[in-house]
Amino acid sequence: MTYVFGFALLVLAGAVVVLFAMLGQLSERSGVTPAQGSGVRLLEEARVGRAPDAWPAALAAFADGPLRIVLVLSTACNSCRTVAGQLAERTDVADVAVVVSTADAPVGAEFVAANGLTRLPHHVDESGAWVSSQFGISVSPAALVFRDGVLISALAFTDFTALRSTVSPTRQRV
Amino acid sequence: MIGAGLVLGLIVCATAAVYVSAGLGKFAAPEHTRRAVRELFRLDEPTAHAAVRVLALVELAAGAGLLVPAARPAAAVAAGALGLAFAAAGALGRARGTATPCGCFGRADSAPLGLRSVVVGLALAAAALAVLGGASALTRPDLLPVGAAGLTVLLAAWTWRDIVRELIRPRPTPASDH
Repeated sequence: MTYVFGFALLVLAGAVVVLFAMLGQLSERSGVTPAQGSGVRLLEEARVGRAPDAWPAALAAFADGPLRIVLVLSTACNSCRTVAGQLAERTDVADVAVVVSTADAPVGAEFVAANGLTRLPHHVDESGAWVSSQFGISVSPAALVFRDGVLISALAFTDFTALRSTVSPTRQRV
Repeated sequence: MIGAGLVLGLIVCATAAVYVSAGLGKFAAPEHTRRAVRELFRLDEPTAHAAVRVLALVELAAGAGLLVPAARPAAAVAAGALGLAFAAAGALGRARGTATPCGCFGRADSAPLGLRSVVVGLALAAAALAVLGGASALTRPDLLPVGAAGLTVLLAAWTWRDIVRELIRPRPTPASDH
């Protein structure tokens, strides 16, 4: 009887482990990682080396030119709000555009306005369709780095300053 | 002798907790370990995928087996082999200077395979050897699953302490109208 009880407890403990691991996955995908600081991480699942089939009208200027960064932010992600706040105060964002991933376009537009992102080229991506279909990305905040309209790198990040030091207009390699 | 039995019981519970947690973590979030395995052993994606699944199963079986008297000797051998394999992977990771997180316990930001892995792997192998050699000294083997369950929960809370901290952090309450 004690063995049965003990193994039942072990199964419950195992469920706790799985729950935490899944919470960790969710946290990673939504960018909410409180203890990870400002690390920048390569997104290996990204379709690097390809150009999108089509660019949203607002981002047409990013279809060519030297290093360009498209930030993918989500309206459902706390870290994304933090990053948006950082962007509003930066002056070194001439090569930066923002794609706001959201389930609802008006919510995305409100996110752009509320976080002072209107001064940057921006696109509201309903259901994250453009980002996921073109680049295979479902993580935010994420940075898509382009050269001449071709994706050369995709990074997950939580701090724009750390990202900026990794991807700089003066650095031609990421 | 009760003291030796208690210490051995703790070793069995701790080792079982580590392997159960490691196996379940890999089932829940296999991509991190898969990435590390692919890089370290230069495997293609399908092979790495299968290898991680098998590894998770073996870890789970070894952990659970340590708690069952009939299966304990075989499970201890498996646990020792896994410990040595982890140590070897750590040595290889250190030699290659890998920076890819090992994906241990399913964490994306776990340390890369290196010196720490060698130490942990050797400790697990030593624990397995102690279990193999001293199984007869266990005084209350029926309580091992309970002990392992408790240590599994504590290990999960420690491994994911950043999430635990975030979950229990008091939220600011909105201002109320007077």
